[in-house]
Amino acid sequence: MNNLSLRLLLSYTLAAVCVLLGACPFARAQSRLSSGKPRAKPSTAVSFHKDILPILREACVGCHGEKNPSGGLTLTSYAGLMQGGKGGREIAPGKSGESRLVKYLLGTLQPKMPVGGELKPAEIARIRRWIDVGAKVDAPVKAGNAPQTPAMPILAAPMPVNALAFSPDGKTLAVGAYRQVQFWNPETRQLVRVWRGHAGAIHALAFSKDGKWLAAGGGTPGVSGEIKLWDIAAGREARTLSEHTDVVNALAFSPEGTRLASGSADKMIRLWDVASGKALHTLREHADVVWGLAYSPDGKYLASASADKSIKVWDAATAKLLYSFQPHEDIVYGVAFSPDGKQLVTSSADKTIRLWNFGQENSELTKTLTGHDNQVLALTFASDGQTIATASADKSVRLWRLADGNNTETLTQAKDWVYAVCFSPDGKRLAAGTWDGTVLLWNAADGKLEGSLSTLPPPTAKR
Amino acid sequence: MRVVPAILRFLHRLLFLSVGLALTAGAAYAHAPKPGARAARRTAAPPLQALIPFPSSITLRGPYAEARVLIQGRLPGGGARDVSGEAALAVADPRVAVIDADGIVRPRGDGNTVLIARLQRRTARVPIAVRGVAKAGPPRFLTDVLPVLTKAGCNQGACHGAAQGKGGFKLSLLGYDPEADYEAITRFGGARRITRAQPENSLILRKPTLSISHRGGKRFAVGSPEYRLLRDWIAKGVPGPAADEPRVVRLEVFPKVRTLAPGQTQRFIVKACYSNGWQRDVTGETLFSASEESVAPVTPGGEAKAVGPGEGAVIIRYQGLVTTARVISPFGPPRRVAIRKSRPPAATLSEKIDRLVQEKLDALGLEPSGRSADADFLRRAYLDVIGLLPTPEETRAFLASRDPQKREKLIDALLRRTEYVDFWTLKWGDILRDSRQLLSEKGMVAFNAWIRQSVAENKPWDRFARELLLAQGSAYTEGAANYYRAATTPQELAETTSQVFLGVRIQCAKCHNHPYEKWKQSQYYQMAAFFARVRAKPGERPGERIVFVSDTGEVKHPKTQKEVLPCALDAAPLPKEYPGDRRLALAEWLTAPQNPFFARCIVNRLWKHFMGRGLVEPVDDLRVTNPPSNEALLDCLAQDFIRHGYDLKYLMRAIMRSQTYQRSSEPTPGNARDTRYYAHFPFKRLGAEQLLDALTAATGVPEKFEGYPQGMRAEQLPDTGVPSYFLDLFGRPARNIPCECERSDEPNLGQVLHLMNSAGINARLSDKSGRVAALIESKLPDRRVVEELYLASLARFPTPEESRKAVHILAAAKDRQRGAEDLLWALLNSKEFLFNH
Repeated sequence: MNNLSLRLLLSYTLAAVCVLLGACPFARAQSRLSSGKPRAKPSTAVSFHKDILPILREACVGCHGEKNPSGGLTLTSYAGLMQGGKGGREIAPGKSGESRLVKYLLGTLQPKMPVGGELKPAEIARIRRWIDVGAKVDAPVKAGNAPQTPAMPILAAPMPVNALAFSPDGKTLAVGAYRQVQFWNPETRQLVRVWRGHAGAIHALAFSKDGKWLAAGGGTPGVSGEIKLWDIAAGREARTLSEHTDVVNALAFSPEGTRLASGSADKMIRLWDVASGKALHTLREHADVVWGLAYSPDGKYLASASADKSIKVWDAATAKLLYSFQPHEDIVYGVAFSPDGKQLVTSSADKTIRLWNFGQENSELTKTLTGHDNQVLALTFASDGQTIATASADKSVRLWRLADGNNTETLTQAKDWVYAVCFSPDGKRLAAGTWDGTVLLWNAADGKLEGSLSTLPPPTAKR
Repeated sequence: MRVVPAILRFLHRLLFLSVGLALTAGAAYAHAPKPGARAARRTAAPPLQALIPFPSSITLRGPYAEARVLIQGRLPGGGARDVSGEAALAVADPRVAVIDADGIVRPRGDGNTVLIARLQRRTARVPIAVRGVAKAGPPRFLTDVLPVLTKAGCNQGACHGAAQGKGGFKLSLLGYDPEADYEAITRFGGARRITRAQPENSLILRKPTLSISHRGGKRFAVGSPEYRLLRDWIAKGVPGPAADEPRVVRLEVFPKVRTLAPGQTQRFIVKACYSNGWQRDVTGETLFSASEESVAPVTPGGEAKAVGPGEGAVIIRYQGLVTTARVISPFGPPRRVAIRKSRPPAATLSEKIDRLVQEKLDALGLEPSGRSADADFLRRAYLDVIGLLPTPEETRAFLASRDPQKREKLIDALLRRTEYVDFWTLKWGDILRDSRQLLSEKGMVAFNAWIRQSVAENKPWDRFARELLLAQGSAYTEGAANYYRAATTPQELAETTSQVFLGVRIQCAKCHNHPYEKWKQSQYYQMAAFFARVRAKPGERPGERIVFVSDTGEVKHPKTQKEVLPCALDAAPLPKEYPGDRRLALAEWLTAPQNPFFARCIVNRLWKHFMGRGLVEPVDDLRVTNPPSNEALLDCLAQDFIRHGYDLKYLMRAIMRSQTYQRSSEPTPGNARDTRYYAHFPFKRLGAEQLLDALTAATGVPEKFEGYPQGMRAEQLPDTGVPSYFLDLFGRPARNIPCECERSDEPNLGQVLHLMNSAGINARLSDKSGRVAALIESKLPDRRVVEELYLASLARFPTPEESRKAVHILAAAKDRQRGAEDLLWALLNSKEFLFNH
């Protein structure tokens, strides 16, 4: 009697709960499980690299790429696909009907993939056929970077000057242009030489201190980063370093010139051995685009500036993160050590420049320099260690005296955003690069404009 | 050993409950559509009498212009049908213009030609003029580029329009800040998104075409019109927004109103009118959405389809401007329209209400339900005016009365009751956030007293608002000053004032221009500037705050960091040297008869209170893109309310005297599917306080609230901070937000279980001093006991059938008291008790 009552009670209650919730959940769950017997018969061989990877590249890697992939699933390679994500294995070789990937594509697992669209039936059938015959991998079609930029003429249209560097002897100014580095004589303002063959716009330039190497960084936005190491004496490209997956924004040689640090829009910093071109370390701690890099003069430290609003200080030898701090309210673009290594300067989208007493465990704010009306995109030290120059989206270049933080000069000849700024090694000349493809040259002592250069290649110059 | 009988008792009651559910469920099932009824109305297309094109002529200016043409087929009866998809369309001279498979006309060369539409041997001709193709300038940023990005979805809230952008690329939400967008596209990120030297290599083209991986997916194809426009813009030097670019000043949509049979579709064409007088077809870049997906959903391309009966708005957004078109899908054939036109004009507001509701019902082919029974009306009026059930004595007296004016008299009597003050103080306390958490106990009590006094004297609504806005002094003694304690910052005060008194939710404009309204970010801060000088200082007593107006203080626009002058929504800004209290200017504007929001907002709130559904829902979200279900009625109520001095009781009386209010809640086959047009009275679940007070009254066992005297009713509590599991369970608001929506009538399992078998309910039923015990004690016959229990809970006599069954239960019960308790338990668990109907 007792038992019967309890059982009745339970079933009454369950029924009541089901009625109240609107439906019985079990029925729905069961109807989901039944689809997904393989329809297509295994037939001709399907190539992973030729037939499957292109589908994944087009439809999936937007979310399942290598950076922060959705669900922990990376679909840029065979290994990533087979490894699966947080939900487990995606592929059951030989059994496409049991493969989670297929269930997601069919919508029997939610959310249906790809989100906001769907594959063509033929593409799903191809993937299923590939799984049903064993989900094997074949040889890659072609090594090298993914999608090549289409071949097309280069128009004589201005492109921003994002990078500038004086050669250590001060006789040459290297200018980053579109797919080429231009070398100008700063005295005569004549184009001396052009080195071509870069994948896209140059975003970073650095000479090694001994004048042996020029590193030029750039790449194809959203696709790949590229660094070309040029052997200056030989006048030819020594090698291309291409592990970054987005544009290289910052480059710095270690003081003794054996190492190169690169910072990229792919959020990574990489350290390279210059002589061999070997990648030594990958520094992954930044959460957003890396915009600036600087070695301390003694070569012990590397400082990096990022859109994640932080400055990170690294042990240059071991690549260990020493500390991180948030010097600004917004993106940090520029970072530089004073020549004596005691001070650090940072510049930011928050329109300010900040001076820090550099230390091994932290850096202390000493001054905030205000005056720019817009983002401060770049900064550089003069070799005297007393002056810094900053470049801004307010179309001006400003000179600041370190001792008192005074804005000594405001140079307003630029007609658009100024992306790059550098002093000649003797500190007498200042160069700045702007959005409209112009380089302006000033006498640093009196702020007089010496002249300007246009990076637009002369019409006769061939590619 | 006590367990088994208890369980049996519970099961017994469940059986009762299921009977009750079955009885009341009938009404719910009646709402389901009748299968086949709609299919029968779909008939073969009748022959067309003529083709009518819209627009009647096309001018295409510049190479990026496009135009769509709607072809309406005129039907024999005078109606029209969208035949754009059926007619054969061709352009005579393809060197001048071409038309694609989607019916979009695009220019090819300067000149004139004609578009010819053919269907059923009928033809229509639309002249086309193409200008400015040969000597075209580059695409313009505001006119050409930004609309393409908006339509492609780049700057929507989930993508790059998010507050932080996406993937390091941030655009303003739906393009409200073109200057910033232009810099984001062309300058930010080292200018990586634009490659002028090789336009096709630009990131901004490669990503949305999925030429390279893009988390946002494919937005347009290589070679599409969008692609070509952006590529040309890049190739021609990415010109930025220019001061001399014409701005869109107005949107026009065609057709403005369309009645559709079920399954019928209608395309819409949107024209932008520019400051320089130009007009342009912007259908392709317009964002379309539907206000009622269940009536007429709309495709991204602007084609609406009638899927269910009712009225729906097609919401049209283009470059910060909004407009709507209306789709009507009748429930049945339109009714008796011609006869009604000859009637004499309505004299009273009640008659006007009925006239306007009837016109809407006629247009939608809905028949009204009949007049409610006296008992239903009585219970409804009590609950709506004083929040309480009528007593059995009051019910008997009302039902027995033969007075033909008895409903009107009851309405007047209820509006004079002191419980009216309790109930409406509770109502306004919710949206004004009278709460001890926010105001401290002393402040809360003072605010409560001020609201009570205002309700008691039926303070006109304009004065009510005015006194709140101008309040000053100690929040402990000047109750109204607590308005400035519930919200303290200028921003919060602007938001609260707009939402409570204007029904305008401007908070969206705090961070960006309102995506569904015309409100700009600057207008938000201009409203806030009215409150920039309101301050509070400590008083003498602990926790006391004195509200005062300082003579300094400004609000800054967060982007420009410039001081903003006070300016009411759509009004002229205050002069820079406005003397005295700025709030005075706001109060003047707010309560002026010309204010387009103030009266509409309060009449909509009252309408919802009585009719269960606001003419606009949610009640405090009046905006162009959320049109009322009966525009003429809302307008009429507001105007009449203004003419009668913002008198709340006048409006309540008028609504309650209308046939509309007095309709039966029993739907008819012809109106069962109506949920918006008041063809029958809606079901409203009792609010938490109403329900607890009803339970108390029905069982005759008062509630005791901690810190308050025995017998105090729930609706008399000064705020919602008095602990009560029951009130919280049934959706009492915490008064954290100035929104009626915080009070919940959502059902949940806890509520059902609580009513079914909580100790609290059981104790009330079996209480020795309760109604059941008293009835048993009284030795009344079973029939009378049953009658009393019905009167006390449902405010009606039982039907003979109900009486017979219930008497049988009492007679069959071993314990008569237990039997009566079971009966009352079943009545309290019936939907009839839980709902105002």
